[in-house]
Formats: sequence, structure tokens, C-alpha cells
Amino acid sequence: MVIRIGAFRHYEDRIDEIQAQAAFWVARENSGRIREAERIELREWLARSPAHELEYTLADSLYADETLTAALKTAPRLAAQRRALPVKAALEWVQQGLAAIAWPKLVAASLCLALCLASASVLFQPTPDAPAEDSRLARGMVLETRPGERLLVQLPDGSRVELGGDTSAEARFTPTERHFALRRGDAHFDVAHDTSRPFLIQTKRAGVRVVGTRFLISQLDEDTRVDVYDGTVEIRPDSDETSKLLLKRGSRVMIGRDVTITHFDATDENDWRNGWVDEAQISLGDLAKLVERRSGERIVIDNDLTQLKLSGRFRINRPDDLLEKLGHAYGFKKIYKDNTYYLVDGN
Amino acid sequence: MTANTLPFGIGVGERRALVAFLVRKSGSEMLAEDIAHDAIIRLVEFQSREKVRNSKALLFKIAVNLLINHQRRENRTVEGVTDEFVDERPTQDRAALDSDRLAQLQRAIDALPPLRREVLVRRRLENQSYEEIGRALNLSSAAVEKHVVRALASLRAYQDKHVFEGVSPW
Repeated sequence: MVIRIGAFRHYEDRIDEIQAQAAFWVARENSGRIREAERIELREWLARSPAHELEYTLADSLYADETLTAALKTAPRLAAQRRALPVKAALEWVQQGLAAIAWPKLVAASLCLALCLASASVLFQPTPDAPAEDSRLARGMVLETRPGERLLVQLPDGSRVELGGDTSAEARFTPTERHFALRRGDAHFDVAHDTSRPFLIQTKRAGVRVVGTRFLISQLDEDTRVDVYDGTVEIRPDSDETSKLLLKRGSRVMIGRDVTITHFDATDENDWRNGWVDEAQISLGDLAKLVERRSGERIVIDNDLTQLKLSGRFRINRPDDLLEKLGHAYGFKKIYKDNTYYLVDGN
Repeated sequence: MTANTLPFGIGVGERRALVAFLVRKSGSEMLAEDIAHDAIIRLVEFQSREKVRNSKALLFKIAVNLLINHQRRENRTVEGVTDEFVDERPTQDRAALDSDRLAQLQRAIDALPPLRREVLVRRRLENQSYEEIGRALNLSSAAVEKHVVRALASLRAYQDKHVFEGVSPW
């Protein structure tokens, strides 16, 4: 017979411990770095008592609740630095960010990017009581990156847009609307909430309208896709002006010849920042484009290989590793010559 | 359901109070009855494995959890796509409940120590990594995680404490 000491104590006397443990698991799961062994431990913990399960689901619902993010938006801050980053801090910040993501050869580029951000940051310093924002932003401001670069733009309304490589965009703010045109490439948006001033994005194949949310737009040759990480995003495909899609957290829409809606795992938003993409049935040609944009490397593919379809999680900021592994799996050869990767049929 | 099939500590009066509470929260009598029924069954299971002092409070908590899960499931069915005929705006009752929850969470957040609150804002609202937060606030990643955990646990404790106070805590 097994005597469980814990079972003698009332549930009410253990509630603090259980809530702390439940909060620990929820934070762990949402940190995106929970290990497999910990998952097993979590499952065992949940099975041990109905009290564990109850507190875990309550903590999980609370953490995922959009009411919580809404409440946090009005919370007093320790140091108000979100809107007006001092130039020096901005410089350090972007350098640290780049140090974490960049390859050694990007270090030179990182300084140039840092300067871009610095000027953008100065430019967008909000003045306390002037509703008129920077005139350059009112006229339309062009933002561009070359392959392999990244650019983080802090807009005066508090929104943050992170441009991927080989991307071209234009921001234009009016008193009633925030316009953003994504002409080429991909960008991650963290849009500051403002119901009176919707954020409108024009892409190649669809218009996107939000009031405050986080999502990623990627444009490929064959389609434009939107991954929603938080809030609600409204999308109107150009091909069908009358229809409107409302997407919530975890939804992915792909607008190409058809409009397809699927789901993806929205728990790890840093996936894209860290160079990961999750693709089903992407052509080798399109995947190579993503790699080129992110890494700045040139890739030339044999004609009969471009339409090869691949599925899985790919790390596009490490072209050498990725192409090597794919070559083994799909039977093509990778040759690196004159700063270019050539992919040729293995037979 | 007769009184003698109800779990220990729960009488007809408690059951009626629970249904009334759930009708207020959900606006649907049928849903309230379903959830109350389900919650009572779960309470019986719960009590077979744990010693419970206040079964009434636990019953309400289990019911609230079931209601949240139900609403989340319902949201998920329209999550993928809704067409233009579906109005996303909440009904007036829902909006009132949501604003109550918002106000409650705001109070709970205000009650957190400033540093812990800052960590939570950066983590949950701004989606910064533990490393980023640690760098900005001069904390180790482990300390950042502890702040997130404690903040979340405090908010949960606050919710529990205020479930029965006021008109509509949830």
C-alpha cells in the first residue's frame, strides 16, 4: 500500500503551490523552449490530481486571453521607452538584435542598418501634443532592404514593423488612416491598437485591415500569405473584392490562384525571426527565393528541379546546411561556385 | 436531479445558485443547465481524489472553467474564417461581461509589483524573449521567468479571490 502524504492535506491548503506550479508550466510552454522531458513531466503532473488539471487550464486560458493583453496595454510601465527610443539605446538594441541573428559577414551591414533605424527613430520621435506627424510620413516614406538584410521600423503610433530581406514597402499616415504598402518581400507587423485609425496594408494580391494585432505577411511568386499571431485580421483578396475573410490567432491564409485557409502553430513567434519557416508543398524555386532573401546568397536551380514540391520546417538563414540536407533527401547536388549555389539534378 | 444524488456539501439550493450564476455569465439557460450538470459530475470525481473543504466554491470554479472552455471552443469554430454576414462584434451582454473582466484584470495587474508588471507586459504584450527582457531590465533569464510565473500565479489568485465578490467578476 502506498501512502501519499500530500493527499492528507486539503485542496484549499495546497492551492497556492498548485497555482504556482500551473503558472510555471504555462510560462514554460509559452516560452517556446520546453524540452520533451519536461512535457512528459507536465503530463504526469496533470494526471496526478484533478486539481492540477483544473488550475492548469485556468492559468492557460488566462495567459491566452486577449482580455489580458488588452488590460496590459493600459498598465503603468516601469520606464516609458516603447514609443520614443533614444537613438543610442536604439542603436544598441538593434545591434544586439542583429548580433543574435546575423552571420559574421552581416556585421558590416548591421551598422548600416543600425543607422537606418537610428534615423527612422529620430524622424519618428513623437512630439507630445502635435497631432501632425512627421511630414515625410504624411507624404509617404519608402522603406527598403536588400537580400540578407533586416530592418526594424518603429512607427510614431507605437507600431513596429520588421522587414525581411529584399523587401520594399511604403508607409503613409493620415489623421484617419494608417497606410502601408508591402510591394515586395515579407514583413512582421506588431500594430498598435487604435480603433479610430485603422491600419491598412496593400499587398500584391490582397488588402489587409487591422486595428491592433500581430501578424506576418510573406509574398512569394505564387502566393501571398498572412500568418496571424494575435488579434483579428481582415483580408480582402484582390481577386474577389466582395469577399472578406476574418482571421484569428493561429490562422494562415494563402492567396494565390485560390484562397486557402489553414492553421499553424502560433505559439512561437520568434520562429520567423530565427529563420524558420513551416511549409507544406512549397516548390524548391519558392523556397530558394526565401533563402535568397533571408541569407543574401544567390541560388541557381536546374529547370527541372524548380517545381519539386517540399514540405516541412526549414531553416532558411543557413543555406549551406539546408541545401546539403535537402540534396540528400531529394536527390540533387549542391555546388558552390563564384558566390552562388547551383542546384543540379543528382542523376 | 434529486438532493441525494448531489455530491457532499452541495444541495438543491447551491445547484440553483450555480445555474443562475451561469445564466448571468452565458445568457443561455440551456447552456447553464448543461454546464451545471457537467460541473457537478466533475466535482464528484474531484472529491473522490482530493479532500475539499469548500465544495461550493470549487463547484463554481469548475463551472467557470467549463464555461471558458466552451466559449473558447465556440470561438474556434469561427476562427478559421467567417463570411461577411457574420457580425464579429459581441452582443451587448457579452460586451458588458468582457469589460468587467477587463476592469478586473486591470486591477489585478495594478496590484502587481512594478518590476513584475513590466516583465509581464514585455513578455505577453510585446512578446519579448526572456533574454531580451533580461538585457533591458538587467535580470537573468531565470529571474525573468520567475517574474512571469509569479505574475501569472498572482493574477490567477486574484481572479479566484474575486469570483464571488461584486456583480460579475468574470
